[in-house]
Amino acid sequence: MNPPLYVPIISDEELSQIASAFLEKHSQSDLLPVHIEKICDREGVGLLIVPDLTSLKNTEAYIANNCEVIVMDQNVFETQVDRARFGIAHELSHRILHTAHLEQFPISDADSYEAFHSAVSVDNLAIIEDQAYSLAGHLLMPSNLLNAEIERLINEEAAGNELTDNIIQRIVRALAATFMVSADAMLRQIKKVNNLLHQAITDETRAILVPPYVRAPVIASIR
Amino acid sequence: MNSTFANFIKERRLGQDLTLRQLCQNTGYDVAYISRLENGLIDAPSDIEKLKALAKAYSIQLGSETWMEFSDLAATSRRSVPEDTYANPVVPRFLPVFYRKMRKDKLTSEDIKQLTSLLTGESAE
Repeated sequence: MNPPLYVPIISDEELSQIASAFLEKHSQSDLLPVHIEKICDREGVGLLIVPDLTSLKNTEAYIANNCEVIVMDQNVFETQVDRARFGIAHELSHRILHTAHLEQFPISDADSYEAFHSAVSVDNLAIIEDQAYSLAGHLLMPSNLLNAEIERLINEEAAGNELTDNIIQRIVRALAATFMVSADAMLRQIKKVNNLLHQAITDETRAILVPPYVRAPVIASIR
Repeated sequence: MNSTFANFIKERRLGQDLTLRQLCQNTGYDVAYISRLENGLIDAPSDIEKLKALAKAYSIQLGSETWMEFSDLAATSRRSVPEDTYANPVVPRFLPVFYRKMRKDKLTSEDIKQLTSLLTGESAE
């Protein structure tokens, strides 16, 4: 029987620094949007696109073969590019953060995946998924670039006037388009890196930007 | 030198600074098919016209040195011998001897190095 999975404790500040160093390594520190698919190529991580993965495996993406191949649903990859980018960044984050921790689980098929899940508590699984989610956010929306863009857009859109809901909605949409992420992912990252803008976002604006029918964040599993 | 067809085409794409998505958008190929080829999950096409079309997608000029390597690796991925090598009358005689020797005596890495050296004219270092 495998020993329990050791889960690293990593602060959000540390995750931001890890993302920054990783982007610098791949000469993507000041490029927008971050070219996550190119980074995969440079890291030697293969992309395997599978038709109907979501219905076959109940997940849109996962990382396999000792974190060397990211498997992704074809429909998501082709028609929901922002979502696909976040999914790839999420799986890449598992590789960056958890490869060493997952070495004891040679996950390659359904049986080994079940063994992995039974060895990891729900809480620990949630922690490593949260870490991958946060690092993916920092990879696609680096705080320095995001804050610079927020400042530029506020100056451009508000020009010293009050930040109304309409202006904020335009700003968030423009940010999401620039960074090629969903409005939902952008709102979560703004909460982390720019408290001023975050405080100005009302529940009403949030509901307009991320309607209730929008699906939850990318469901991705380590396999 | 790339040892597999999958590695060869992937390196070829990276050399052109294209992502999987870009290559498929530029050429109209199905991304699931190309990703399976590049991950070595399926063999290269055996149909010569399909192989030529694939070469074109990877900007490989027919008849070039790169094409020769591409088509040789494609044949190897299908565990077959490139058709054009049979134009040399020695090949049909040589291959059975080679296969017998390989099965019977289990070629060592040193044997393979020497054989490669003999064929390429390069030193077996």
